[in-house]
Amino acid sequence: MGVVDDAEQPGFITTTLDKLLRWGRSRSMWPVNAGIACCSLEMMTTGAARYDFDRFGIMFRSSPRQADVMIVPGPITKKMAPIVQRVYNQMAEPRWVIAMGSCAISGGTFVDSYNVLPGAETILPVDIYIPGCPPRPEALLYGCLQLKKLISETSTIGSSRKPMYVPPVLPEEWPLELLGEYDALEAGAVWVQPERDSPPVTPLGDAESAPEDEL
Amino acid sequence: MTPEVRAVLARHGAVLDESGFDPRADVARDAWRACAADLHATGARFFDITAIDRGEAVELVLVLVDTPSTQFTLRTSCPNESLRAESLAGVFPPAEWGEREVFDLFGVVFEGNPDMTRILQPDSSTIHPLRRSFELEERTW
Ligand code: SF4
Repeated sequence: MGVVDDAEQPGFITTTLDKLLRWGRSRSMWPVNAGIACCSLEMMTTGAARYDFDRFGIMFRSSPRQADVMIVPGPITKKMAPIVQRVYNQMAEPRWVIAMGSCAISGGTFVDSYNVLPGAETILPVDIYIPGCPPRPEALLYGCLQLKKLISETSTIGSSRKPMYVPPVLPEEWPLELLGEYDALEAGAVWVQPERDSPPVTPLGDAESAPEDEL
Repeated sequence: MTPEVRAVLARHGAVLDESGFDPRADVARDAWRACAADLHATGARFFDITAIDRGEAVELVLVLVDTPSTQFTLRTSCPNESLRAESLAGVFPPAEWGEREVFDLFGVVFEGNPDMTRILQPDSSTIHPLRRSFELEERTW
């Protein structure tokens, strides 16, 4: 970054667009307000006055459309997995995921359960892992600051991230259910962006056998 | 327990055991719904429905509260060969979800329940995890 020191045209800086975007994004991380289990109580504490998330520009948004960070605060059950993935796929690009607590890291104390995924990374691309059961608010803040660092170091122009995240290996025992045409695709499927102003097409298979879009 | 409740239990041939903390009454499976309906007519309120795996059979446990607030349980037994019972959803509407939970975790099918599907596990699940015969898979790491 440079400052243009010109007496006739004061108040200019020079930088690249990429750096400017990274600077802005890393200082306005907006997590989606989705609590899953007991770790979300600690997440709420971190958002409240004593620890005060807002001073870092971290503000919870109630709509995934307005959010770019997903904090996964707890174990993801197999029944919940399609919903969590749908929320993630609805978030604005580029987006990041924080796995908070041992449940989100590996399944934690529920790792052998018949109904819990062994970690959020089974269905989501996790960027930051915060250990603890639950992690203290300081730990969550520290994790968020690490994410801030990661964001400010990652170029997102021409990013390889896709609008639709498809896990590399979809676990067989818990097939992710197709809640809508844009939600979960088979592993390795190629996402095709539908043309605007035309009825949505299924990226896989023929369009006629696809369920009606009810939106 | 009120005399009305005792009379209903006696009429349906229930075996009453009052030695424990709560009175317990065992009825035959054929009398399960009729007995519950008559208890409802005495003013007994629904508290919970759950089940216990006894190995040979799954025991259904219906927890009721009679009018002066005495809690008692009505029990019946479904042998493993026929895990079926009549639904109480028509008698106690909240029993619908409890029965779905018992179906999900124990595999007992309730005939007459308006929506006999899984409630806690995803529909793709094929297991009934609270059965004693259910074994967790070995962890691979
Ligand atoms: S890591 Fe601990 S506190 Fe967090 S969701 Fe799991 S059990 Fe709850």
